[in-house]
This record gives sequence, C-alpha cells and structure tokens, in this order.
Amino acid sequence: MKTLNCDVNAGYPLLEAVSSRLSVWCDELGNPSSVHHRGQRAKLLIEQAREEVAEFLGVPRSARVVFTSGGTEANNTAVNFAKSRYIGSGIGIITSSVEHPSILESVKHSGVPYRMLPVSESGALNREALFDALNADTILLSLMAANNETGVIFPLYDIIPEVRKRFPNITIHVDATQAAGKSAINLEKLNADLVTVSAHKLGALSGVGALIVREGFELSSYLRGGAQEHHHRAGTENVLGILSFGLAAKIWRLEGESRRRAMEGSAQIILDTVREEIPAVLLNGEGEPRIPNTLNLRFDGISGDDLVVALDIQGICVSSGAACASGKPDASHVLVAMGLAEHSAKQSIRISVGSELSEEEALLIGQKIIETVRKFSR
Amino acid sequence: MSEKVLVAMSGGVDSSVAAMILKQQGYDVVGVSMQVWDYRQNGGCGSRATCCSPDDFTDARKVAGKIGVPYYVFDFEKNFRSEVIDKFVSQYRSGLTPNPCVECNNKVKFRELRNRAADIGFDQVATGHYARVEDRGGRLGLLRGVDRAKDQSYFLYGIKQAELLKTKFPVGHLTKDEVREIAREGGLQVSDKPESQDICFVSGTVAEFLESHGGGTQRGDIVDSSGAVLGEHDGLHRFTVGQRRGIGIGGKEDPLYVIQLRPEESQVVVGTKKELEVESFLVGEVNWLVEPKFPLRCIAQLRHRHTGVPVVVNSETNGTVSVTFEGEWAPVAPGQAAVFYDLDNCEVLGGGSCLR
Repeated sequence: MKTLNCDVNAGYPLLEAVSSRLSVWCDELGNPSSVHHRGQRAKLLIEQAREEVAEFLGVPRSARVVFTSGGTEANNTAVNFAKSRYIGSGIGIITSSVEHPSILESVKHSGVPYRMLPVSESGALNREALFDALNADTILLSLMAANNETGVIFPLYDIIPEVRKRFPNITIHVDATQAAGKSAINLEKLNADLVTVSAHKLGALSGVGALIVREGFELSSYLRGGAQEHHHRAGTENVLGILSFGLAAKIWRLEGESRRRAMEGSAQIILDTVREEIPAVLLNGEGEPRIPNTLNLRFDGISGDDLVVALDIQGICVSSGAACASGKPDASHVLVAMGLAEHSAKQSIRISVGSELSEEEALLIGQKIIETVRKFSR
Repeated sequence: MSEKVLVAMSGGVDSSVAAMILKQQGYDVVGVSMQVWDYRQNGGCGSRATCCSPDDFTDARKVAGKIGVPYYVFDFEKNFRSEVIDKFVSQYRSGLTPNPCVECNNKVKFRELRNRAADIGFDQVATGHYARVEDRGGRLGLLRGVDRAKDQSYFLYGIKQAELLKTKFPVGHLTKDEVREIAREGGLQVSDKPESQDICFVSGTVAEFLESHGGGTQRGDIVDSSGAVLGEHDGLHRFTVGQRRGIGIGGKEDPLYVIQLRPEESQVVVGTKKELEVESFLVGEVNWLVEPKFPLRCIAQLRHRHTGVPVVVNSETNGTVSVTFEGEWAPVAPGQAAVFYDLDNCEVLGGGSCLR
C-alpha cells in the first residue's frame, strides 16, 4: 500500500538529492577542528553549508549562522540568553501562547517573569496585549513566524519594526522552524536578533538546526567545552547533518517558489474536495494568512485521534494534537489557545503536504478523508 | 482479503502472544494499547505493579514491531474514569465490594474498544484473556481457559452472546507456561515479564487510592448482629463480606467474620460462621450467554479465586435472579460478580452482580 505523507510539518521527508549524497559525504567526515587535511576538508564543507543556509535565508552578510542540534536547542538558547540577562521585576520574556513547547517550556522554567500573549479564535496574535506587556524590564520577545499546527503566519515584518521603535533594546527572537521553505523569508528584512531554523523541516537530516545571530550580538554559549561555532556553541559539529542542511537550503532557495506553488495546489485540492462533500468541515485558522501546505481541519463529533489511525491504516499519514512521550496524544495547546474546548480541539486533524504530492494523490486523499469521516457512525 | 482483528495489547506476555498467534494464523492484525490512566497527571512513575505505563507501551510497541503489525495507543481515559474508576469509588462508598475488572471488560474492552475498532473498519476484537470461545453445537459458548489456575472467564461474563462471534481469545487453550514458551520461541522480550498484580489503576493500597479519590469512608463501629459495639474500624472499604482477618477483635470463642456492611451507619457487622451462612441470595444485572430454563441447576462462582458451588437459579425478574445454594454455601459479598457455569463447571452460562 502506498504511503501518502501528509505530515511534513512533523518532518519533511529526506530530499532525494540529500539522500543520494549521504554516502559520498560519509567519506568526508572528519573533525572540523583538526589541523590535518581530513579535518580541514570537513571544516571547508561545513563552511560551505553555512553559506548556503545564510543565502537561503537572506541573512545579512555579517550575521552568524550557529549550527545547533536542532530547533529545540536553538529555541532553548534564545530563552537561556534572556535568563542570563534578566534583572528587575517586570515581565522579562514575552511570547505567544501558541509557540512550540521548546519555547513555552523553557520560558516557564527560566525563572523569569513572562507573559504568553493570547491569540484570537482564528489564531491571530493579540497586538494590544503585546504592547501592553512590553516594558523596560523586557529582555526577550520570542514569536514564531508560522505556526506548526495551523500554519497561521504572524505578521512579524510589521510587528518587529513597531516593537523596535518603542523598545530599541529588546532582543527579538523569531522561531522560523515552520516558516522557512514553506514561506519566502528574508532575515535581513525581518530584522530580528535571533532566528531559529530546523534542518529536518527542510528535508535534511534531523538532529541539526541553526540559531541565526545578529552581528555584534553577544550570545553566551549554551553549551560549553569547545570553541566551535565561533565560541557560540561547543561540541563537535554534526558534519553529516550540517552538510545535508546546506544542500537542502540550496534546493529550497532554488526551488522554493515552485515547491510552494505545488504545496498550495495540493492543499487547496484536498480542502476543496472535502468541503464539497462535507460542507460542515471547519478549518482552524481560517481567515488568517497561513503557510500554503497546512490544513487543520475539524470534523464535529469525530475523534481526531481515531481519524488519524483510520487514515493511517489506509496509508495516509496525518496528525492530531501533539505526539507525546506518555503515549496518548494531548489536545493541541494551540487550538485550546484559540478558544476551542478540549473536546473540540480533539476533533481536529492536521494535514501538511509536501511539494512532491501530485494532484491525483491530493484528490485521492480528499476522497479518502471523506469516506473515512463518513464511516465514523457516532 | 484476510479477516481483520484488533488486538488489545497491554505489553504483557499474554496479549503479546495473542497478537503473535493471530498474525501467524494469517489474520490482518492491528495492536492497540488502551491508555486508561495518565501517568503524568496521576503519579506512579513506572512501577510495574500498575499498567499503562510508558514502559508497558514500549514493550507492546516492540512486540508489534517484532511480529510485524501496526501499533497504536488509544485514549480511553475519560471512558475508563467514568465507567470503571468512578464506579469503583462509589461502590466502595456504598459498602459494596466492587469488581473493576468486570466493569472494564464490559464497558471498556468489549464495548468502547469494539466501537473504536468498528470505526476503523475492524470487526473482531481479541485479547490475551485465558478463556475460550467454542462451538457448542449450533451456538458459540464462552468457556473457562484450559489453564484453570489462570482462567479469567469469571471476568468476562458480561460479553453478549451475539458478540462472541466477534471475539477471539487466542491463548485460552494454552497454559501460562506454554504461553511464556511461545513468547520465548518467538523472540518476544516480554516472555519473562512479571504479571501485573491487583488492580491496574491502583499503585498503592486500595485504601490509599480511595482516600485520595474522595472515597475514603469514615471511621465507625464494629458491631455484632444484636447491635452491640465490639470495636472500631477506620473505613468500610477495608472490609468485605466473608472476611475473617483484619477485624481486630480478639478474645471471642468462635472466629468472627464480616457478615454485613452498613454504609449509612458506617458499621461493620461481624458474626460467627453460622451467622454468615445464607441459603439464598439475589444477583442483579444478569447477562445470559445461554438462554436459561428455570429452575436452572448450575455452578456459581462468587469471587475470582472461588472454585464454585452448586446452586439453583430459581427465577428472573427484570434482570435479577434469585439463587439458592444446593448444599455447600459460600459467603456472598454484595458488589462481587456471581458467574454461573454449566454443571461441568466449564461453560459460562451467565452472570451478574451480587445484591444485598
């Protein structure tokens, strides 16, 4: 049975160009800190990868791409920075209530007074609450560029200049994990201080990501014990991961536009197909600008978890809520923050398509969703 | 197209082997663990005495991977809480001796799970219970497991006759030792896993559980049948009818047994063995797997470890039957299940809940 991957937001399938280079790269693995030619070869390659990532993101020449073990580490590093700088008594960290747990949990455990900004029913950021919360003691504002569950995009190109006007000393962190690739982002224009990206969301290997650091920004290293990443992040570099990241970044730079068009087309076909037969279906986040590949659908009276299983048995991979180590999926905190009651949140599934999906496949997926939803009698 | 079976997998050896056997027999198998209890919210970090820990799910997942079947975790928390846990607590509060495993089987495993299975297109449900479904000449019957020491048919009396066709017990015809051996041969790492003891959702004592769930009953008097106060108790839930130990009243000629629990007065009534003896009793909410013809002579099992005694089921009114002991009597604890077996003490005819 063919697998139809509609869960790329959990991890974009490894790009073919990347997987075919893996064995070649394996021969080039060395410790980039070594003086001998093997180490230097590895060093050269990771620097080339770094350039690719920078170019893909439109990073200003002088900024630093600091490779990490992934988006989670990059996010934790940003929060850790705020923790080390905070003095005073006012709200030190401001973020939104729909961020990824790697932000929410690290903020909660930072010991710094924080505010998690509410969002509207459609997932839009409450700007009033943001400017209400900002104060002289605020060290860090951390906002995601696009939400992993609903795809809703925060208007950061507007918000950031406004924030800087009033609070020029605030550090602004953007979690661009889902936005990179699925939307055209330009970090120079974005004008953030710290930006998180994750390699496996771009079809590279997992276990690697980057924190893009503004030039001149003094970021104390989260991990100590080595001079790697210009003293920003100790630890022998994940060469294989970084090389895959570099190639994926190049591919998305060159093919991003056509890929986004393809994803948008497939997602639209699925949505239209389902809506035609099941007009009562609800789109969580409707009305807000969204990344083109994500549909968070709600079917009244139907358990999202059961729907995920029923679709999986037919080869269609989607997700609901968030995977959790305890085994049982929780209601999405994002949907709950948008005002959904827990039981309604649990009636939602997330469909996130890649650009490799064909139109026929998208149509088939839509039809299978309809069939399966209809079979749920209760 | 192979027949589809959903197997409830706990991560233990019985359900693991059940899944493996069905897969080997060519069924289209999907393994499911039922999460009935949230470990994060309810404490109990990985103690093996309870069930549904992340470790148990990992074991189930590994077994599913080894035998080559898909594996999912289904959320049954809400259902389990209202049908099993809440009932457990309220029954203790009412002075009954509850049987949560029966409730779980009836309401959760063989109803809610069956519904979910149907939703995903699976008609049959299987478990690792030691029991058998067999052809009894024109109809299906529910039988004790071959391994009498492990037989769990007592907890399964609530299955409807029509559902037997859609229920499988792949290990019911095996002994526990045989099951462990099969697991070992199959390379399933759970072959030597210790069995989960007691009630799956209680990690400490029942008393502790009840106290932390608002069901802790208050102190009261221990009285004899004339009402004379003999001592004090610290919670009705610590006693069950027929209990001899733990009453804490000494110095009497004849040993004392709990003969009744009075929740309204918070009293434990004790008496001699003679006073405990009853001739007949009532059983409510009876489910029949075999259409009864009254008066029905059969064997009644009144608790899990009870071999069963001959009785006559006299008549039925609105799902309640009156039962008379034929010779030997046994203590009847209200709330416990009374399961009626045929005279060979093998096939389950029906069962219900003992009334006061």
